[in-house]
Amino acid sequence: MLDIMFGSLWAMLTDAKMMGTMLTAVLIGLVVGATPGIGGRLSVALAIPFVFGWDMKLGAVFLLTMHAVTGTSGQISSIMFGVPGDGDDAATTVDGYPMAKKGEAGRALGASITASGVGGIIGAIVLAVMIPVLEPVVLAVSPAEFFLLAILGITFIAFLSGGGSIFRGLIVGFFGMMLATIGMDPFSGTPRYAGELMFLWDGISLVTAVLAMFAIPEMLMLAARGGTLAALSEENSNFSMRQIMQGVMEVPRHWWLTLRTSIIGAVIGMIPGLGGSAAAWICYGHAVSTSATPERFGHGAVEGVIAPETASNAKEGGSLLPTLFFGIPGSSGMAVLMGAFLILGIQPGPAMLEKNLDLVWTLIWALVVGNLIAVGFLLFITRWVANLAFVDGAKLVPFIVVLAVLGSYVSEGQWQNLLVLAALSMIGYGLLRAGWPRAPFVIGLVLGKIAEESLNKALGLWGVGFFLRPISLVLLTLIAITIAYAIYSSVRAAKQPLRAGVPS
Amino acid sequence: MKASNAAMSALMLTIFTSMTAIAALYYPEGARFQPLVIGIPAVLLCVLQLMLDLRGNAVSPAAPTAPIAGPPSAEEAPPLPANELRVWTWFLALIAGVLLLGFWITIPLFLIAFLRFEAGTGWQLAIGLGAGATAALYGLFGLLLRASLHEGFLLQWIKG
Repeated sequence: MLDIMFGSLWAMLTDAKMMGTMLTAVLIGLVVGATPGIGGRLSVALAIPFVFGWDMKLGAVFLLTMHAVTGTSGQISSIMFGVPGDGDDAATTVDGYPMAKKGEAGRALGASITASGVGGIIGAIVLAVMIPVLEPVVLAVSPAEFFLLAILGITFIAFLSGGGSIFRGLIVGFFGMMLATIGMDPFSGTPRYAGELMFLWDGISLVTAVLAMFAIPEMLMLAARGGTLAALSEENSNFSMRQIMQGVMEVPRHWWLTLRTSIIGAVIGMIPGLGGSAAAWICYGHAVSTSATPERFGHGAVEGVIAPETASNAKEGGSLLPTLFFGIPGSSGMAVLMGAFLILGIQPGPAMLEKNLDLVWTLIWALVVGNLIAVGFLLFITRWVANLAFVDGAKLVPFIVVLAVLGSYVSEGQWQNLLVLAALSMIGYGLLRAGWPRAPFVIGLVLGKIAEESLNKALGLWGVGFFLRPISLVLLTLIAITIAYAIYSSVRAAKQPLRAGVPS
Repeated sequence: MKASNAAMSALMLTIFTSMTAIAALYYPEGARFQPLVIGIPAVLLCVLQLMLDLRGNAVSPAAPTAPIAGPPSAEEAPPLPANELRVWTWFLALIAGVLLLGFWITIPLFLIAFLRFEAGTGWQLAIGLGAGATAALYGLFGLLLRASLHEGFLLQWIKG
């Protein structure tokens, strides 16, 4: 085992063609990752024609490396402009963007890039460690737990983002879930809320929804308000290589959080269907709930950047496990990657452990080495990227808006998405203007389909009795405690200013 | 946030969720299950929030246990309505332009016009930035990714 493990690494590092291919994949992955709308899934799909006919190992390493590093650069636009490239990046926006506005863009980018790289590496390690014990872990999570995990995720984010009222967060979360029901009903085949509009039969595009909720409202607000992205002037921002390194050092400073969220992210990645967006949001919630000072979150807490970034990259390693050994893709991106593997002649399944163990280890090392190259390259260019925060907003906005519109179209290649983008942007702008939270919308949209499928399966398997399963009871208790605590906190907060004679 | 603004937001969401929940009643049994599972509690929550907002008893947004307010808070100096109307016109014009003329005509026109008239840059810089950005986007989407972008209905109609 050990000779194959380290032999694969040595063979990779000493093969100039392999390293050149990886470097190319990293560069392409970073460019497409930084472009809103083109996530790992789409980049792999677009690259399949290029690798057709390549050597099996070379092609697989190229695609996996490219897929793995797209998340590492996606955070740049999230932090700099509040423009998440995908659902995964939206969680980073919540604290990364306020940091950029406070003139701490360099620190935020340093922390997020490092966290992303470390998450990717830990994810690969978790993948390696979990190979012998994967099956019982995957089988332990049933549809009943999937459904309640989705509800718990929405409740938690609603509590955190509700602006003092959990009801606002829940309403927006349910609104996202409601939009997730648009399209073909998976069980009866009835098109819901779609009528004759066939482009809606596949549901609302997640990329379009995320861009409409975050990117467009932020940019239009910036253009309407005027000024620069950063609230501080460039002279007072203390932005330098030192600031970036401060950000880098935040990761070892929060090593325990980094380790926890990496492992959680990797484990979530192993659970088919839960996806990277869920990993990022669940780990963000975990960071808030375990912090001694949760009130800093949402206003530029560096832990709020570290947690989702480690999770969203660590899940790549985790999701490779069911993809390679069970032929069950851990995420939609992995589904496309699995299709590409089949085209290259790789047959995923338990036999991979016996027949293609060297390929398995090569892929694991590709995750590690690819992330290291990506982190080094991004840290090098970050100094210049962060200066964009001080460019006049009116000069920046048109480019970002164009990129968002392109991303919305390219994600599914349907012009109708532009109309959806415009309509949802109005709702997103309204929510932003009225001070309502927007984060629960995205988590509702992401988890809505998972919740529906899981609920139907759970009801089919156990009837309403699924609520009485031991893990279900624990999750239900957590949901109830979260809601009760939120209401108690709101009532207490409302009474305090009255007692102090301050008008509420 | 003014109580009237909050109440208006809650009212809009109440109407929306009620309409979607009612529409779900007309779907077959299996298809309406999930929309109702979500829709009914959503309507109840909306009504509750609306009542709270109308009574002006909504809890302060600065409550210490509700930290995540999202990137920019609405409390940050709201923009003038005239400015909002103007930037929304730009955005909707971009969408309309893409639909009618396609990406590769609209993008440079939009960038140059926005930079010249909204950002106040000189013609030379606006044209240079607009053309440069369009070339970069074409390199990425058109050449590298070979993505087929929308041509524009007007051009499609002219081409027949």
